[in-house]
Amino acid sequence: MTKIPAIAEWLLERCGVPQGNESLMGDLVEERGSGRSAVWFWREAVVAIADSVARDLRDHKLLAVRAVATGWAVNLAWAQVMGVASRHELWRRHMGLYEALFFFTLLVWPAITGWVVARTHRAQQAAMVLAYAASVAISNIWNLSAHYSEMKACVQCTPDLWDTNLVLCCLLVLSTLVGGFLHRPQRRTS
Amino acid sequence: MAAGHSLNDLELLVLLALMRLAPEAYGVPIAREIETKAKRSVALSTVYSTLERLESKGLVKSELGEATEARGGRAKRYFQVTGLGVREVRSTRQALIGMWQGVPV
Repeated sequence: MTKIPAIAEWLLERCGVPQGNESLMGDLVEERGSGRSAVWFWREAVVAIADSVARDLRDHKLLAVRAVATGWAVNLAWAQVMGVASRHELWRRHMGLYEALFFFTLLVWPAITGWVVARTHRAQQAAMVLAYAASVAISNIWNLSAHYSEMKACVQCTPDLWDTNLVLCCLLVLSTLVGGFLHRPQRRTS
Repeated sequence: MAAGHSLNDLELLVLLALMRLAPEAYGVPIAREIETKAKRSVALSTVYSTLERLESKGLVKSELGEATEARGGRAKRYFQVTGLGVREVRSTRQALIGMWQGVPV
């Protein structure tokens, strides 16, 4: 029996493609088994995912707005906690702990936020997580370009770590997506 | 239009493929039929989303077949054009013939 790549099956499942559409998954397996190339298979998988996400976003615009708002509300709540915590005496005495918290905020918290968005929008989770991740990416690009313009205009400032900032922003978006896609989607009935 | 729907070109191609393939019409042969006869490459997911749309309009109906080993234990979904679907295809054909008349190509 031909099997489709596990990563493709995982991606298709997380993006809600086979839910209520087992026949499409069966067709993909059948065609791959009858000699279709891996390139054909991946093209079909990507089109199926894009189709499913686009349909969910088109049919649930308000839900997408709610997903973005949910993600940013969770982020804002964490920023408040961090603001209060950073003023505490404890951090000055234990810099290592402060650095750990910084990396938690940078890499783990976005994943938790992505997971929360997925959890609260289970029926269309891939589309909603992608909508929120897109808003994070846009916000990062905006902040980075503003910061870069400031740095360029400032004569006395030392050159900033532009590349590092860019990598960190990409990690933030990636972490959001990983967190969101780790959540198992709710099965839809068709 | 008589039946009250309007078909886009892909919907029309899918309906025609269903009529040609009946009663063995499911995703793979439908996509192949469109590729062979209409010389148009179409993704399987696009075929399914079109079929889903046509089914919601009542122009096609579907039933699950048996799950097979070659499909990883997943069942085929067979599609059939309904009476309303046939009327819709005829109506679209008439509209196209009417529009072609007098076109100098």
